[in-house]
Amino acid sequence: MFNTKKDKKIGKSKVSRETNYKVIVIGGGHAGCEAAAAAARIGSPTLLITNNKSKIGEMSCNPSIGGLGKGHLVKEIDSLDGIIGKATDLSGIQFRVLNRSKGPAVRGLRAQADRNLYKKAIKSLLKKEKNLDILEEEVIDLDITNKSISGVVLPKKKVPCETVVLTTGTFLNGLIHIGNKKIPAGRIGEKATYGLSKTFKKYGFKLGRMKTGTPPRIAKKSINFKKLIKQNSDKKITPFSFMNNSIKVKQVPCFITSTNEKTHKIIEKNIVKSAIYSGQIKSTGPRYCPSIEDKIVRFKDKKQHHIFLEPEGLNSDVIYPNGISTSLPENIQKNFVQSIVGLENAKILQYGYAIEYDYVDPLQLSNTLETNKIKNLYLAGQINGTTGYEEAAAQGIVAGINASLKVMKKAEFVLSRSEAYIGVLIDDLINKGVTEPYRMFTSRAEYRLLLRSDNADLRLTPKGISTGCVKKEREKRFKKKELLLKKIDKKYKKKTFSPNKLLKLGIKINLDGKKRNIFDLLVFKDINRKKLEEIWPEIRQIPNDIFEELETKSVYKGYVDRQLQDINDLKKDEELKIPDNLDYNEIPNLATEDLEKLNYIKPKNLGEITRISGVTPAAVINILRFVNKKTNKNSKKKWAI
Amino acid sequence: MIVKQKKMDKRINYKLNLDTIFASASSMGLSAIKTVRISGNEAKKIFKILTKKKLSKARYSNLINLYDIKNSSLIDKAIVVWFPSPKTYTGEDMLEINIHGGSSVLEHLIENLLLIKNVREANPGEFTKRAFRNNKIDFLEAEGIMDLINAETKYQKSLAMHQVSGELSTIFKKWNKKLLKLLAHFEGQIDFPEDEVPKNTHEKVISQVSDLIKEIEFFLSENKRGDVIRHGIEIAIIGKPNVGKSSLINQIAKKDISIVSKTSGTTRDIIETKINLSNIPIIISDTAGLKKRPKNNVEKEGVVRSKRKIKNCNLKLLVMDGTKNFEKDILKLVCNKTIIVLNKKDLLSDKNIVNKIKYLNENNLNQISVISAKNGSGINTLLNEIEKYIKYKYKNVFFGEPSLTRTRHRAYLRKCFINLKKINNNKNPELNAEDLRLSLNALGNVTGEYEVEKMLDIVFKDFCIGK
Repeated sequence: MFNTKKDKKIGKSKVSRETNYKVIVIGGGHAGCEAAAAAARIGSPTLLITNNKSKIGEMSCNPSIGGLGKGHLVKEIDSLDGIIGKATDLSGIQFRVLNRSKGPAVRGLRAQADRNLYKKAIKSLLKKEKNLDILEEEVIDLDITNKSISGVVLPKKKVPCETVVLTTGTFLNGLIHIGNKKIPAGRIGEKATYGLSKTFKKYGFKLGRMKTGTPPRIAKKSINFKKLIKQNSDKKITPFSFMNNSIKVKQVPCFITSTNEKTHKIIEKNIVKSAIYSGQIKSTGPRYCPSIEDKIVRFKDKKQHHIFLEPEGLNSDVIYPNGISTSLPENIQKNFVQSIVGLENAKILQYGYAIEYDYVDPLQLSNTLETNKIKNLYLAGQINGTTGYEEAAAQGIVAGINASLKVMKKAEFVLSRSEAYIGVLIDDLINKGVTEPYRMFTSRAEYRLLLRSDNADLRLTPKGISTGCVKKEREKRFKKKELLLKKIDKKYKKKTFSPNKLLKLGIKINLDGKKRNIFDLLVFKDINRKKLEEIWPEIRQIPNDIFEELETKSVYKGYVDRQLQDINDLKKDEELKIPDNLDYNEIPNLATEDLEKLNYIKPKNLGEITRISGVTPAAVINILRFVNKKTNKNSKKKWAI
Repeated sequence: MIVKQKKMDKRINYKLNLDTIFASASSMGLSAIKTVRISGNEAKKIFKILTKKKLSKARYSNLINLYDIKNSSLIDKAIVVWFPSPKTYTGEDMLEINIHGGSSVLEHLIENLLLIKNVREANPGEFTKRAFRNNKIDFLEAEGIMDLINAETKYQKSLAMHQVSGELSTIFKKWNKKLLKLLAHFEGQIDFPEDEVPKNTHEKVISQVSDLIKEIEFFLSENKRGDVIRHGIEIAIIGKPNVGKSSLINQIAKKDISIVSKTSGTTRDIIETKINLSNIPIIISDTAGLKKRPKNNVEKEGVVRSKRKIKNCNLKLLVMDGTKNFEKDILKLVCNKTIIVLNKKDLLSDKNIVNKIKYLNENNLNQISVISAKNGSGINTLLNEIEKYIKYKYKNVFFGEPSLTRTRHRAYLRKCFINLKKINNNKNPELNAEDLRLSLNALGNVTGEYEVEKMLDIVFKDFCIGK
């Protein structure tokens, strides 16, 4: 967990001179790595600055990636040629699809990752980016001129640049709690950052404080696995990346145990010693990731809580017990852990802790993740009040792409709620704000049936290609798939059969006179691919992913059509853009309350305005009228694009 | 770049229609004429469906009859103007309908509009927003446009205000709460498969949905306010032949109540009398006697009509001859909207009456009135009973919220109901969740918009999430 200086050099400087860096990314976590890689792919000379090179790609919480909603994010990032999916494929030691029995829109791929393999994979993927350099150094402050970025301040010098992506995670004013102990730190054993918090305050940013926690880590050798339930990897593994067909890493199981009455008694008795319940921590923690203390207090009648024992790596001696994050004092952590079946002799390698940190109210960001208050500064990841590697990476890729596009004076890259989970994430952050660390759930996406893992590439890769963040290799592979899909879709769309004809072929359905094609038949529960192959052997040749795509399309058809209609409405609102330099104070007749909100959030289009709670329709029309007049004067063109 | 993005968007078929929207442009209060504006692709269709005529000449006023979609009854004689796209306020096809000022006419029209697919009420400012989208911005420079928008908003606001008070809203809020909880449980088992969400959640939710469906269905069938307001409360007098049904209706008509009209057919047909009982419009029908074996086709038809009347009426008066023994098959006709009328009081002793009532009470029949259709005794008491029943059962109709609000409530409830009915055990949970979300959205028009955060609150409250 501590600095290993050996690891310092990752590669030689690829960009000729330091002064030539255009984009600087601060932070080497999941947001930072994705941002740096994306900025470099777009084509700007990019520098990634981290406190500690050996921590690049570190998983500071649980060693797993993906799941419901989160898996969708990974697939989307991959569709834009991001690195999180590829790195997980290179390091995943247990792959499982969650919700396999449910429909394709709500299935989520999740992998346990080997921490070291993951870091290695991220490093090698970054190394491949020819426009990217990495520097190990502490960033003291941002260099700001006229409320616009001009560079970053290092201990001994300033490095000029045009845009900055700041991804400092939990390091802003980070404070660790174990029982009544308080340790200022960003992660355990790593220094927190203070200077930037001051800078944010100086420029009038509203900051908030949040809390999260981790469980104690346990030595593998000290666990009696014989007593526990084993959970294996899926037999047939689907990789995260659309670029991969298979996984080459060895697969290992996880184990499941649970707390019991004895555990609960120990925790109940010592509850006041927990940093959360002693009043030492006042900030908000996530409701979906409660500490074991919370679980026991809030769900009194539950006799037990599951614990997933997740290996941290193939050769690692560390087990991550998922489900018992805690900020109790060390001796009590030891006591309750050892009351659990299989963990009777558990040796604790690192005690659990809660961490408090500053975040920047994301309402102060635009849909490219650029701040409203300092030009050319982009924020991504936990600093914006989110949680999770995937959420961080998703913001990273958007911020990185935009920081780079800005340098090249190209149009912004924005994903709508109707296009991607990434769009839902950013739209929620910048228009609704956060009250607890924000995590993605599929239920947050109103167009869930459209925004599936399986079609992430079809949704986003074309946009990635036109933006310039997708490399040739993926472009080629994608176009091939798209072409084949179209061909097969066209071929079978027209081949329709009446119920009578199907009856003759041995398929019994309602005699409703409706003609159906092969994929329409898959709506019926008792009809599957195998059955269809018996009747039409030629469909055996259709590749799996393409077959599933067409099947899903047909199963969801009625619902998706309705959603497309809603999307149409949304899109039209989003096409009505608000100019960046609009001064709301100039607009007559706006209520003070509306004015305050609009000046703070600075929406970019009509769709965003309507999603800000409480802004009246009369205010909306007022704004549109004003914008219209102004734009007419300036360009003589009608204002809608 | 933006051009490129626009090109991209064509990959998905965005050419789908937007909803057609409508709004009443006049204020809520009394006015001689009320205007309803309609905008969108369905405007043309609406003209044809409501008028049963071909589309008229553009921008010409037409005095034209509007008919009910379901039963072809006349809604109103209205002035209708057809404005084809693109030379309209919104840039879309528009229709302007001017109807007479009574609230029940507007209500009737709106009820019909909401029956048409893809037609809905406009959100505040939506007409103007569409004008913007279609570059109809010149309109916005015109004088007084803001007044129009403010009026639009005000109208919606006053609607919204009515929505948060009153008994009906309480019921809707209760349903909304229930639906939100059900959705939360659905979403819980979708989004947290590895957490401690009980395995049978899906089945449990589905069975609760079917309970809710029954509840809403009952409400929808019981509260046909529009019909009641337009046609009055329907009371059917039923019973075997020669028990005194006709005499009863004559007695009621003799009372100091205004007779509006009297239609007479053969004795085997239905005779209707319209009266006003304490300002409540009432239609009393005398049905043909229920015979087990009708002698001929005319009688047969009479019985069929009687049965239909009995099924659709709001209140039944089951007349029985007090001097004869009760017949079991007639008592079977009693339901919760029946008053038993024991006739021929003049021929019965007090003891006899007490025994008869006792017998009925023992069979759980408690709404009983004893009269003499011959000399009129007991008729006033019966009328009081009827009035009491109607005022209790239909208090919302006559003394509740403004009628227009109720029409909207019903329309959205029906939408909610239709989506709920689609939920079943054989479907993927995410599709059931979508149906549930759509029904919540429909109800949300009355109770306030569906918010993900509120749903998540329930998930985290009811389940211990946090692997």
